[in-house]
Amino acid sequence: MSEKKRLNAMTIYKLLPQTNCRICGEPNCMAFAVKLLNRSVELKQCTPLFDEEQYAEKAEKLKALIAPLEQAKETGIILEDEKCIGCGNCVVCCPANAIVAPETSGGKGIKEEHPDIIFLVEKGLARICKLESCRRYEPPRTNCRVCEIMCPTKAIEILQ
Amino acid sequence: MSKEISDVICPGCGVLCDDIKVNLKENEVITNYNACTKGTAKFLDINANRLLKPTMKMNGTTKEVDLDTAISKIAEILLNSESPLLYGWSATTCEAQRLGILLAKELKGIVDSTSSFCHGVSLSALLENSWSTATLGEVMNRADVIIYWGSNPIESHPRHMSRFTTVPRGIFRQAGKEERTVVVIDIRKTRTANIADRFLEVEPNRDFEIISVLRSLLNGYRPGIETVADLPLKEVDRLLELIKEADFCAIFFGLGLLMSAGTYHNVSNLLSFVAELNQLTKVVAIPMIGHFNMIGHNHVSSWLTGFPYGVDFRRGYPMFNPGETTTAELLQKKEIDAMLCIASDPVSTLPYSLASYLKEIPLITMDRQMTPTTRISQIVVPVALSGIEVSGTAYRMDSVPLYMKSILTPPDGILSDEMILQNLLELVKETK
Repeated sequence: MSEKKRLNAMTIYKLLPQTNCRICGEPNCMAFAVKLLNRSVELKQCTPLFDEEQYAEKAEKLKALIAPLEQAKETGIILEDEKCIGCGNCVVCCPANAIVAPETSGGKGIKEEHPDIIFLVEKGLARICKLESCRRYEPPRTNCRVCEIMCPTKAIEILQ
Repeated sequence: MSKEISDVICPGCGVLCDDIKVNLKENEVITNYNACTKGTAKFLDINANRLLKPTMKMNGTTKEVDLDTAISKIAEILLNSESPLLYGWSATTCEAQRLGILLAKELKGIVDSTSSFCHGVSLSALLENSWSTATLGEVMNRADVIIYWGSNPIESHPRHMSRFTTVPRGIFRQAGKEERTVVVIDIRKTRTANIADRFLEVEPNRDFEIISVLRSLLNGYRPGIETVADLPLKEVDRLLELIKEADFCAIFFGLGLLMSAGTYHNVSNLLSFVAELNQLTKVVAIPMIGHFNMIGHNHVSSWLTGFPYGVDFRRGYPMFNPGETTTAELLQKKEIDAMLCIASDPVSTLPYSLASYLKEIPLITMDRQMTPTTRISQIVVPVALSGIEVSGTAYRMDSVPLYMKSILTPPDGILSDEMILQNLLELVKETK
């Protein structure tokens, strides 16, 4: 997993026509790239990329590049059990977890069941429970990566 | 029907996480929440390789015996011995540790814990210096600089960073990690270093020099060198500036500092450095205690005998001289003629030259599961697991005593360390 190239808006932008034609409805190609990364727009909205022959090669590359985005969970988070040691850093550092289960912000684990909790540690391994609570899920889709940064074993990876 | 218990204390390591939630079904843990992989192994694999009957080696064969026979045979061996050693104690309750010391006093033997190979040695440094320390709760609420020196909590104490030091938001550290700077000083890039703000890779066995240079710089003497232990002097300068500017700095030192060249002198130097720093700002040093109640034995032993470990009662009064009354030297000099090993596995952990002597003397082991030590023991008494099957007191790594509650019932006929030692102590008193 770690060998995979990280997606970012600049990589996507380089494969777009870069003409700022505004056909897609966005002010420029960079804004389209950012929204494509957030999955709030679809690639087919960039019509010149598919209609004009000169961009055919770029279109193919871009399709392959953003393919993992479609496979990943809604927020792009991947949690590998084999690497996890249950340290609970993700449970404590997650800002959304702190809202739904305030005890986690002070370093403690969950005390009772919270239906909206994102991370919890069960049987020594971290588990993602409800992704919908993640700050990356709902618009404006904050590019929060704190769980990935704080994971010492690199068990958490955010694809986008 | 399943039952849920919260706020269970985990006997996995010295952090003693007190927020574990377990679900039980018919005296078995079916799932646990909040515990790390280390703690989970204690809760879920409690019956792995479990010993269920006392055994005794007679004429080369191992036979199952009843508990009373085993205890009377143990009393006989210990009473006939001139210098029995009562060793282990780090993974049992303070109540059992207390009885162990009383037993050693009755037997005129030696009582030593695993801390004589571990952080007990840092207590020798404490005897030479003052010790500025704090509880982990204070560290969580106040610390803005955290230094891990020669310790790798992600492997040894997985929840140390998330529960108390680095990640949680404290009363005066509302932004959590964003308000803290974490520094790791180690000989290799560890997993802890992965999430640290600064990682200082140092040459092995040269911690003493780094601390000395830090102290020199602090006191206004600039050594005429470019690097120290592979570390550029400006890095050491930056580290010192970071500590000096901190509101509250917590230094967690592990066995990497203690068991490299210089042993307790490294800690002694560090504690002197911390004492000097306290003229400028608040700095504390806390040892990274491994076993869940290792520092507990040091406390119990201190308040009963006046000495933290390696206490010798052979002359009728407690005597403490590290290097003479500690396990390694006693085994090396072949001074002991019987050993009661409790809550420890010396055959796995001691060097071969020392462990091989254990085959030559009567070895009695009290353990929950089969270990290399139980295999060579003359008498093996199975016991219940302290902290999960037996309630009792344990000291967290910052010397805060916590009461551990029992959540499971031990298998039939299995008693706690405390009860077996109580029976043994009474028998020894009667027979004497």
